[in-house]
Amino acid sequence: MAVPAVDRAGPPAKISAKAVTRTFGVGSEALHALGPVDLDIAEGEFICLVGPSGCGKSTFVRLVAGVLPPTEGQLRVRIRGASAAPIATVFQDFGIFPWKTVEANVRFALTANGVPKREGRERARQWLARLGLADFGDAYPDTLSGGMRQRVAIARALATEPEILLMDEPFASLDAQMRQMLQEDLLRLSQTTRPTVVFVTHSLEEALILGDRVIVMSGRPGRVLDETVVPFPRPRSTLVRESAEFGALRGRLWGHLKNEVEAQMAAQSGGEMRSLA
Amino acid sequence: MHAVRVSSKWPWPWGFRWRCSCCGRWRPRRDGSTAGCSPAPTTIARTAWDLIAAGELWTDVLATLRRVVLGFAIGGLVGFLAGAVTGLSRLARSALEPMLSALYVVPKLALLPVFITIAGLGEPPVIVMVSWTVFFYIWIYTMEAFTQIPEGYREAARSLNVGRRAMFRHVLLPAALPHLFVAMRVAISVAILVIVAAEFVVGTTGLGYVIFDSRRLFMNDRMYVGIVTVALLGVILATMITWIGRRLTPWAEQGRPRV
Repeated sequence: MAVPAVDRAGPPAKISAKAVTRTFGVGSEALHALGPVDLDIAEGEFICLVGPSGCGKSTFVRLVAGVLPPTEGQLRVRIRGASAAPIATVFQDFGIFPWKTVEANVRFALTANGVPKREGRERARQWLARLGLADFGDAYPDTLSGGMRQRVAIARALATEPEILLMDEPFASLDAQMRQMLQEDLLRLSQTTRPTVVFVTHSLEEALILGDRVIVMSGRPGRVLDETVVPFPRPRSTLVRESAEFGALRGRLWGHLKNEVEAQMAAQSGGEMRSLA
Repeated sequence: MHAVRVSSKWPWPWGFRWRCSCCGRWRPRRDGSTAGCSPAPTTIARTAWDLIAAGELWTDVLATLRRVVLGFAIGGLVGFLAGAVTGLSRLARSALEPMLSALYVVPKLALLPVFITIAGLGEPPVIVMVSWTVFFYIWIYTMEAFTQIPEGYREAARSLNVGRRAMFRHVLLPAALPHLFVAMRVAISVAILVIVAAEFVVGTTGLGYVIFDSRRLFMNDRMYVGIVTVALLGVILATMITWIGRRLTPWAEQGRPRV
């Protein structure tokens, strides 16, 4: 994978972004989507990115995944090199392939990264079983519910035993119950294997349940506005949402986010007014 | 030539519709001539049986089938390659699409004289004609299928470290495959359409020749045998493509048309 500037002997941060920006297009059409962003993510840390729509959260994930290069700045990802596929990504849509069965989807991730066929099959089955999908190996993804499909995507990502797990609004299109179920799954799994996780979400609640640190980003171009260390001890469960501290934290974070969302809405309606005039 | 016999036992509604749709006479004229009469379905069946028994029909069916299959294979393959290249490369698309689009609107049959001039008489111009027609349908559908693959699939594959070849084999091709079978189904019908006309103009075999030759000789029953056989051939080939498509794209089963 085209991992940006892999540095095996660099600073202790697993992912280190220094003045990273990303612009799409050139000239007058150019869209400044992200940055400059400065962010250090430690090994084994679970980071949640929240921010208004279009603030470049997904762009940041794509930069770390190596799917996009940064326009400016430095993005270092430290890889120990133990796993064949050090970075795995769970997308909101289109992540799993409808033309492959559930098991073939998981296997594909492994064999594409050089895992022998037989071992790939075994590991695929193992991970499907861990996510409660043991009976659905031969099913096609379109025959499953949205929640189960996302479980397949998570199983596929985790089966490669990645050092870094990137999740781009993986639960956004699920209903509330399914969402909570998968949050529990993810908590359980991430607390046993402890990969470094970058999790993009719209939901402050989700961010506070899952993350070690919540990064609030500004509207476009996205910058880091606020960092909050989540005080709930691990291993934790989704029950933390019941505590008073949780409510207070969410209120404080919403205060930051609200301004940004309002500013963005004002900018958008201003833009519409201009285009009307 | 068979005299048209109308059985009183023949179900009336069908007979009525048959007569109206053909705008022909149903009974022989008073003087016994059958000119302008449409043969009854039973007559067509009997004539077909006679032709099959004489081994005459098979020669023409096989001739037409060979030309269709050959033309379809050549046109389909080249169309697929052109579609894949123009669908996957923006550069190739902007270079080739205007020219191909311009050629696409030229009526296919208008080019038959050109093909005869180039390829001579006999089978070659007919096969070129079919290939030419099939090529455009497959090219357009294939290009469309490849350009419409959501970027998300490519991105997901890239995030899995997938190389170019595996990307095509495991992601792009299967994503386009259901559309390719739709394209083939459309193309085979058009191929049948075109071959009948081409065989009428060129050569002395094939179902198209049988139809038009029979008409010239007032052998209406033989003409209808040709028409029915061509229709059957089309249905069988289209059904085969659908069937293969189902076997190869089992994930796309829901909401797919039956034929």
